[in-house]
Amino acid sequence: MMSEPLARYVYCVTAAGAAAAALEGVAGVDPRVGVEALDHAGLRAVVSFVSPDQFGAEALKRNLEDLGWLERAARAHQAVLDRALAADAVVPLRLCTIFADDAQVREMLERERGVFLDALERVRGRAEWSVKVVADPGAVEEAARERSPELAALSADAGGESPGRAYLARKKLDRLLQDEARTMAETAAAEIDARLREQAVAATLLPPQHPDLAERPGDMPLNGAYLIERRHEAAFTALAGELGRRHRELGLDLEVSGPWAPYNFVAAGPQR
Amino acid sequence: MTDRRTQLAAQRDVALVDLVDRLLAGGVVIVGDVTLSLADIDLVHLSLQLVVGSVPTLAGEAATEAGDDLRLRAV
Repeated sequence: MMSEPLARYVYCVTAAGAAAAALEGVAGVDPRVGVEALDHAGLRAVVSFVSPDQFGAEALKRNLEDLGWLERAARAHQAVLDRALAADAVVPLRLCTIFADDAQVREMLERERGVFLDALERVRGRAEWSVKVVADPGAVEEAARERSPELAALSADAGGESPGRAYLARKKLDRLLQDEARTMAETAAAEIDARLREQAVAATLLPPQHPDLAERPGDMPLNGAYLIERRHEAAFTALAGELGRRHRELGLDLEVSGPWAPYNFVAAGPQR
Repeated sequence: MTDRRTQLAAQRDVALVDLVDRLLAGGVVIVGDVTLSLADIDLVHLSLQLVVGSVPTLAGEAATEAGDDLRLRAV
């Protein structure tokens, strides 16, 4: 500690004085150190000390390539945001936003004051919810086969003709089935998204998660983020549950998680 | 409001990939004084590492994941 001064990790920004009780005793990304509040210019940065030998530029580059390290940092960051969100409006910062000292954090708050005040206004009383649609390819194709007279007829052909004709019919059927299944899943996902947006203040589509990373295998025709009034959260999750039940017979599953701090609704400028 | 909701939020065991969707791809990005902006990191390399490295972790999580958190599986 004598050689290199500690740096400041910033988790999020709230209104000055906000979320004080909620943040008491909460550990930072360095689990030995608790989070603190740093008030300036009518805003509060939620911060903790971090050591340069873990969070300095070079060390950080190395650590971010270490999945275990990244996961621990991400979970600690998220735990702080969960606590802050439960107490008040928060503007989350990108993981690993680190400043040399308190003076630099104050400068940043001053410089970005307009951005933070706008964002706080936009997210006050609201939270982000995630709704993903995961498609089981086999089940979706089966549903598509049942629903299309053409595909059902082809299926019969593929089963009953001479070996040569049956082979060709099966090839054609496979192609048509895949197309039909994809169209069906995408159409359903778009309808689900449209229904969810009716209850959202804002919404944005995230790229599908990588199949190897996602919790369950399968395509992801929808990875949506929705900004929801906190007082309407129960209605939103009820709607998502209903949509999930209704689409299960198509081989589609809805995964809902939240409330999240509004990570995807704090960028400056118009929402995507 | 800080009682039950906070507890639930704290207990929530979310998948790393959902964290990545938000903590690494969302949030306000400050440029300038910061030590190192995540925008400077080679995210292609990073995500490759995630794909290669995280599968066992996620499998382990899936096994331990119970229905008592805030994740609402549509049933």
